[in-house]
Amino acid sequence: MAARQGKPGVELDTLVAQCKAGDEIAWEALVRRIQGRVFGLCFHYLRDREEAREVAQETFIRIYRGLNGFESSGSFLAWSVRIARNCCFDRLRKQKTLATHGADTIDDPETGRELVERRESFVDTQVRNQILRKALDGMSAINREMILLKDIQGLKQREIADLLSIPLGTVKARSNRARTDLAERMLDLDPSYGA
Amino acid sequence: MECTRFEELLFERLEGLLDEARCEELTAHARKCLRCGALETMLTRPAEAAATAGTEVPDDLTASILALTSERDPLQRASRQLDLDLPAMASMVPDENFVADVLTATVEADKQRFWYRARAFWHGLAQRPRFALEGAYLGGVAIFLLVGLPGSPLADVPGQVMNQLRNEDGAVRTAFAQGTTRVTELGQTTWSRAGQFATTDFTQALTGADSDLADPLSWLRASARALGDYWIDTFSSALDWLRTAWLNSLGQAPNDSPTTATKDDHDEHPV
Repeated sequence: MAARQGKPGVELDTLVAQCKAGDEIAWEALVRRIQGRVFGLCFHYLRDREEAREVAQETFIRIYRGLNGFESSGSFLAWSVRIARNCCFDRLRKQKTLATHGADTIDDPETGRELVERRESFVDTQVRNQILRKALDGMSAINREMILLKDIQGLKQREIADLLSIPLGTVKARSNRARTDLAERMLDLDPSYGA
Repeated sequence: MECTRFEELLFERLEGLLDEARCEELTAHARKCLRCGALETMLTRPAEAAATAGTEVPDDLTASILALTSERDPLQRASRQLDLDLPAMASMVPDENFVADVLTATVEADKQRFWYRARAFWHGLAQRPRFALEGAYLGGVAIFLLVGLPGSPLADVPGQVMNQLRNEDGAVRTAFAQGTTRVTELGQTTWSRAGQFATTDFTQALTGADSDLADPLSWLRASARALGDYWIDTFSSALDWLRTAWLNSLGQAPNDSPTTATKDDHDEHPV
């Protein structure tokens, strides 16, 4: 029962330690705890729910098999994000769409402006999230990933620098630029955004 | 150098990660580009930047101006809204079967690995009566090959053990835990007979003191006789021991002696 509730009171580090000791209940709790983040990350990279589901599952398999190699001193979330990102890139490489992954690959023909027009008839946050996704889809891959890792997943700049193997200063610069880019795109789609 | 690249390198320079040549490139670009020059001055020499403003400003003025401009700057407004909206996008709920599928692919898949399957297969096999009986048969054959033949590597071990039990004062008594001389004698007789049988009688029966290996029928007869005699004697001894123990528990002395009671009885064992 505790596992079904995701053991909300248990620290993530404790859960990870229990999983490393072979506790199957703790593993289930850990999966329930981070499934949303992993699935969300995969969805942001792949933009397809079914693909994201498969890759998220593959991510958990890799996490499960690599748990003993994970050092407790590091951030488990950053480690799991790294694995999820690698899984997504593996999948994207298979699809050979990595190079052209941009706004022109979006299947949904609905434009951002149309979404804004439907704003009155939908829950506000849902529509805003869709607009945000449209804006993110229009960004360059580098800027989008920076937003994804820093602003959406909440990784620290140092963790992003380690993950992407780039200097910390570059992360700061790209992060600022990506943030400005996204804000401009949001304003293009919805001039009242943030008002 | 492009301005975007300048920004990246400028932050690296602030971190102290750039070499001298790169720093000079930055400086050269900052001299050419007004925007980048202002940025560099603001970030690397804030005092100088303030001095170029020409006036000394109150401490809270900058904050007030920034607050006012940020309220009016759409980009700042949008950026603040992004602070609220973006973290909410981190988590997406997959379908309800997702966790079950993950567990199937991890924990359950682990159970499908070779050792798990091998162990389960072995447990299932060992619990089958036929396999257990065949295993016991093979075990018996193995023990016989180890100790029952003259050239077996452990041929003399049972005899040595039995001799030790017979000669070591108290060993048999302890084993039977009854403490009476009668039981001790009976035990000594039984154990010594077992040892003698294992090492001598049965070996002789099988290999030839009075049987001929060239005549399988004779060999089988001799073996059967040796086995039969041994088990009859052992069974009689056991019955006698039980009878004696029962009488002792009733406080009566046995009125006759057991059929196989002496240590030297095995010497007369027909082979």
